[in-house]
Amino acid sequence: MGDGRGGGSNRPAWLQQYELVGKIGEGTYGLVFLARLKPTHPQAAGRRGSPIAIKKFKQSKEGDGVSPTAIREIMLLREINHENVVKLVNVHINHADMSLYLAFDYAEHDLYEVIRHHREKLNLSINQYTVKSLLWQLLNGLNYLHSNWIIHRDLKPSNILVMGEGEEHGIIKIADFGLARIYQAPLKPLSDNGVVVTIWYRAPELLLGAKHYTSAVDMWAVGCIFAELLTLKPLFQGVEAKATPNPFQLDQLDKIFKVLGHPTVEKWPTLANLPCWQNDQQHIQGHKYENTGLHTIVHLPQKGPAFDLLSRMLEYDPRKRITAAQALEHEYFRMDPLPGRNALVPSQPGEKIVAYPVRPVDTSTDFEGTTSLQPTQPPSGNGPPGGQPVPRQIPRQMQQPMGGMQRMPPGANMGAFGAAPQAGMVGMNPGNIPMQRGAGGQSHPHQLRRKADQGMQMQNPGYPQQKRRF
Amino acid sequence: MEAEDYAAGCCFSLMCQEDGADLLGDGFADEDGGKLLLMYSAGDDNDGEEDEEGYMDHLVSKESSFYSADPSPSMASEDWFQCARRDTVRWILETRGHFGFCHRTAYVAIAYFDRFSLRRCVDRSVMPWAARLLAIACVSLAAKMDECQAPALSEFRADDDYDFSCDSIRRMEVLVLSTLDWRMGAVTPFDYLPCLSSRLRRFNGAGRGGGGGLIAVKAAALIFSAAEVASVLDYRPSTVAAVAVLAATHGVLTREPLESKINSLSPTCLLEKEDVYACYTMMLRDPSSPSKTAKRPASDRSDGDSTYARLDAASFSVAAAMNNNKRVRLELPAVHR
Repeated sequence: MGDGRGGGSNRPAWLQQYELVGKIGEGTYGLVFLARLKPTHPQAAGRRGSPIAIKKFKQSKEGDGVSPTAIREIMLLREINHENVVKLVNVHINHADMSLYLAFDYAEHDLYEVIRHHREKLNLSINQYTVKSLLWQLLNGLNYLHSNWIIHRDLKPSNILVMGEGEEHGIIKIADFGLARIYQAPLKPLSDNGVVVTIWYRAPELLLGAKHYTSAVDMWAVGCIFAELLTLKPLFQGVEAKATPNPFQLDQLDKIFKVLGHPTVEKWPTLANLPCWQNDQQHIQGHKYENTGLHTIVHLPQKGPAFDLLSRMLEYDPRKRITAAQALEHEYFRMDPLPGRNALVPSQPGEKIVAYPVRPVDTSTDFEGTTSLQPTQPPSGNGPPGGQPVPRQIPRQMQQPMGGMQRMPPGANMGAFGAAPQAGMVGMNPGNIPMQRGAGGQSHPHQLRRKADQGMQMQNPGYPQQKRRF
Repeated sequence: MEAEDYAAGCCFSLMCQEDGADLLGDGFADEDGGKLLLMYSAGDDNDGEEDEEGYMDHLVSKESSFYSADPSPSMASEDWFQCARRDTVRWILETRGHFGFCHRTAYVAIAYFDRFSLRRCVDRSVMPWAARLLAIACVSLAAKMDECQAPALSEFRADDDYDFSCDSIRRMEVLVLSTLDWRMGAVTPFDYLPCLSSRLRRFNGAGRGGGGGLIAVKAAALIFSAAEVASVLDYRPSTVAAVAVLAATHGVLTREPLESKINSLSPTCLLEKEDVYACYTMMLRDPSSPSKTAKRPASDRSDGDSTYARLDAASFSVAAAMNNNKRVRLELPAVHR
């Protein structure tokens, strides 16, 4: 039993509870698979055939033991419980090789694909309602994380999932906590993790060598994503200098300064203390940047609330940058069209509903990550929302967004699923401890003392005046 | 009696040679002019203090999920276990010194050990090596959570009485992770020290100077000496921190001044007076005196209890026993129940 095998197959018993559809993502951390719960799965009651994303961590070297990234990510996911944040459904251990598998509810879309679909297929901007709803939900999830002293550190479109058709259609889930940190942990430079993180969403203070992350770095990324939702193009597409462990990224800073103008010590007093600002004077401080104007890039009226919100997110000084809680209260979200729960389906009659493509699935790969010559499964019956056929190739080249960055596993938040005991998994989970949402997720009754006046809500999504919408 | 005597009297001489840089958040002092602040501030100068207080509130609300209100299982009250536990805590503290880990990391490892011991019985027949293997796994996991660079498993083999294979350590890591339900986040007394120290400074009007650092080093020694005596799950981390800071500052106090000082130091923490006094007494007890029985009454052990799995000799196969007199090579297969 303890070797993680069972029942006439080489697969661990827990794995046999899932019906593999195929591989949907790959990165430095490992692989992500799409699977469905078989009816025999103890958690399958009422959820038969529910799609599940299974993230398999790359086996760590025996001499290293369990990977620190996996421990931190799972620890964080175990404490998180919010509609706009992925929810971990299960942790499985394959004792044969000590590999770790995380099971999440599956999300069909992500912002990277949504934006790409508009840019490359539709050649049409995303409608105002969808942009605003996506942004509002993103801020809502982020506000929850920040209130719990969790900084994501790697927000970008491909890490922001959107649920496909079903009960949670059009709901955003913030994913990929591989780099996220909780307050106590010492914060190490991103490069230490051996993970390539795209620099396009990285805040200027980090590019200038600030050693300590604040939640303001996430808000900068949200600003970049907001602009990208509006224009369908990354706002600051710098070329990463990869050779150096130095955080200083000249090209990325150059891209930012060209749009936002030169930062000054008057506007950003602690600028002078940043290591790279001092060390690399000849590169940046010698340069004169003309402020080309953010408004001309995002095509927003300079006096409108959308532009005001965006420029507060892209404030240079992290201490002056708008917080998630403040942003949720911004005038932009009180104006028509109001944000709603299903970001993909506008409630305005006459608005066209966009049929986003489903995630490509490589059906030729098995759970071990080995590629078989013949696909073991036909493509899933998981048609695109609009009934439009989406061509699939088998096997299909996996999408590698953002210069080789990984796609993150989808996840979701379907309550009953997380609390069920894993009756079928005795021996797989040494402690055989059912994963339960416990005190960790609900033990923050006092934390919002200081932020209570900012309209924080922990669980209720609290869409502004949503009665008018639904 | 001066507080120094207590600090010096406890068994961690290495404490006193350190500057306690990790204790007051100085390691976090940053170029942006902040201090131990992860949340940004909206501009005004009071934000540092406010953030610190907000952070403390967050910790207090969170800590209850990590300290145990359940009665300890009987194992904790047995002498052999107390002995094994004390040895384990000492080993963890020595290992901290050896690798140069933060104080917090050692405390987290001890907390993992105590939480593990609440949920699983480690049979006497596999002592003391099972406790050591468990301790190694706990330290390794704590380092992975909190240290920038965790040692390779093989580094835990050096200079020790046992020779565990990396695979055994890794399997023990997995066993700890799943036994603790992957809830590896922890609130420790060390998380409160920076804030309590600055409250003390404000309260006493003391300058920053070296006093704060010295108090913190003493407080750390007291926190560890308390951890050696009894499960760290017995008292709230905020209580332990407040008591340690007061004991480090004032030495022995009688009950009433202690209570008044606690209230002024920690107005937002809902500290229970009985707890504070019991914790204070325990902390300042001479560590060389024979240990009292555990704080909580023992309940009868029920081997069939489904939430309380046993680790016994059958769980571990001693594969290549006794390479020499002392070194035992262990293989840890998946543990059955």
